[in-house]
Amino acid sequence: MKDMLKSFTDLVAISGEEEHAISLIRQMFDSHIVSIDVDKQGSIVIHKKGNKPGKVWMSAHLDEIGLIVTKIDGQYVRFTEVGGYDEKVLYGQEVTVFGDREYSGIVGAKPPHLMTADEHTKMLTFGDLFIDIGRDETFLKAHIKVGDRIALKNKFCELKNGNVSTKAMDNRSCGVIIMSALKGLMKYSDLPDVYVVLNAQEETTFLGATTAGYNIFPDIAFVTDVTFAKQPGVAEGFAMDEIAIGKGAHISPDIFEYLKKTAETEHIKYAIEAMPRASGTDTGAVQLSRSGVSTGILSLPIKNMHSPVETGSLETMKMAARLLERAIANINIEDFAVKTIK
Amino acid sequence: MLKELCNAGGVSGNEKEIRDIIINAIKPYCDSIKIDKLGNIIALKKGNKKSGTIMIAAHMDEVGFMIKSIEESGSLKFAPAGGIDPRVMIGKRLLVGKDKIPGILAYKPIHVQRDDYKNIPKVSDLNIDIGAKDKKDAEKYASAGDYAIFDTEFEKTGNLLKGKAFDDRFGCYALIELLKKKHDSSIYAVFTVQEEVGLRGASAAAYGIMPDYALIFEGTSAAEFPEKKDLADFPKMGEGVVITISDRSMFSDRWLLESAQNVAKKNKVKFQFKQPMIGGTDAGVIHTTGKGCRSLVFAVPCRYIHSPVGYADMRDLKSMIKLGELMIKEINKGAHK
Repeated sequence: MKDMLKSFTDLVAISGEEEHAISLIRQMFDSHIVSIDVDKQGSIVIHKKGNKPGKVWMSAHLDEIGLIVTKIDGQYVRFTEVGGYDEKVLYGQEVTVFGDREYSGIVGAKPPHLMTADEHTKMLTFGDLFIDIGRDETFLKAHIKVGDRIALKNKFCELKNGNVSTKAMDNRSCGVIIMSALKGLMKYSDLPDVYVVLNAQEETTFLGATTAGYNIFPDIAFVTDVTFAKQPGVAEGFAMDEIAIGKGAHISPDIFEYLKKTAETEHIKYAIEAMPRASGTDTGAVQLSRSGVSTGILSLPIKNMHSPVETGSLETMKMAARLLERAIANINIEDFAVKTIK
Repeated sequence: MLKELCNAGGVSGNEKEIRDIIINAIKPYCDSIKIDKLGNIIALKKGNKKSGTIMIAAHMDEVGFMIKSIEESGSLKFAPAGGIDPRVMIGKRLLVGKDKIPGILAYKPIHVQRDDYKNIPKVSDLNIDIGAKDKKDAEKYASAGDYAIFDTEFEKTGNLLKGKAFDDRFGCYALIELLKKKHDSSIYAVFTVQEEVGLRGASAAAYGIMPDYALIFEGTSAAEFPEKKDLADFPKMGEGVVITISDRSMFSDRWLLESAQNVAKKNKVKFQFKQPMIGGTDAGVIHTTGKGCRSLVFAVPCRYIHSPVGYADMRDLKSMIKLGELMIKEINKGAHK
């Protein structure tokens, strides 16, 4: 699982430009057993045909937050965010600019020595920051254009106790969870159709889940995403060794109960995540596909969300994969169908 | 019936209690009843005449709260489900969880508020106290994910109604009454979920039905308050059913809007208008479903909606039901074609 996570998080796929992911995904699965397709929006759909009726969906969004070029400003590149980056983490980062090829750069700002007293105490925002790739204006104009994506450089880092830290744990960690669950499901013979959907553009508009949800229109959808782990300043976060099972408007009460029961049977440590209104995930989009889909959500607690050092636990990821595998292996689609009263 | 509907719990996303009550009430009057994937009730009452697909809708859900976590002290942290002003929360009694255990929505006393006195407390500063000794004790009674509602008893004094969740149990009541009546055409009556958290149930329900006409029955804000003398002061309680010309989510269909006024005048049904461009209802998503449909919203004016307790007038509710019935007839005539 660690190797899979490393190669999947090393991949750069910023919202709207997820197409690089497909070759990696194709390497991970045997095309004789599953079909792998990319839809018009750039979502990747891995489909394992079942031998009993029903369609079950597992999804994680494929895209990651990043930056985008807004202007060539002399010998510097001006930029803004794609998805919600914390501007505070950007100053002093090394980046890759995806121009006509990849260019390394540094996020700079006016040096402290030249700042006025007022400027010293002010937070640096996109207007104050720029990217320097060490070339002149003529070079920049020839090789980099407005709209090119920019990624923060990243190094996969193993911390103590099986915790890992890298960029794009949001949401590649969950991509790894659902692909592992699919691999685990290969040993079962009696299954409905299973779709693993890696959705494009969650961080910007939930586009991928909206259109893939309409297209596939599953009976049941399990969405996975990251949530906040307990860390300094986040007292209400979850422990990193537990899986959060979401409850609220975007989640079918029956699916919530089913996931909870499965976790209990499998002795998997879980907590309940209250999401009374919007869940802030693809769940709400899939749920409203056509005439409605029964949905559930599992979330992996991570620290430092939307920074280049997102940190989570490999052991918890393994637990989450096992939970989904067992939940799908034992599922009875009829239990979650439209109910006819009369 | 109205009392049972208003007293029942049904926070957005947790509509089971109110749904079961409604299903029991409509069973004798419908030809088929389904609960869809989101929890909407979709009931069909068949008629003989073909006049396009008519959908009547009201939402079952109400604003309320969800428990987020339990503090070491045993008090409960929560988040609102639906729009509730934090200023109206303080010092109110709640019913928490499936077993409806009593709780108090509390803030620190005035004596120790000091500089905070003039600030509106944030929801994160408020707690629900169920009387638990500590976290372990509280966990016996409540859990993260439990819902809570205001503890308010419905009362009727003459035509004056007092209670919670008038938005939109009045609509539910109107739909139930309309299902009891005979109509020429088939009618889909839809009791929707999750209106208060973004018109969500109606979106899925309407997709499944693809209506040609939709009539939506609602509770809306009355606007007759002392400080608003220089502003529009309608609708008013007791002045009849409220017809929506437009709100933030839609413009009502012109033909339905004019027909409704004409038949109301002809049949002496008291009506008034809603202030344009305010609020939003399920009609906002229903009228854009598929190729679109003609929609109109009726409402009962209520004082203090989205608060623990409000007032309304029974006569307005009766006018709403009457006008609903007349409009179904009018659609059957197909005069707009």
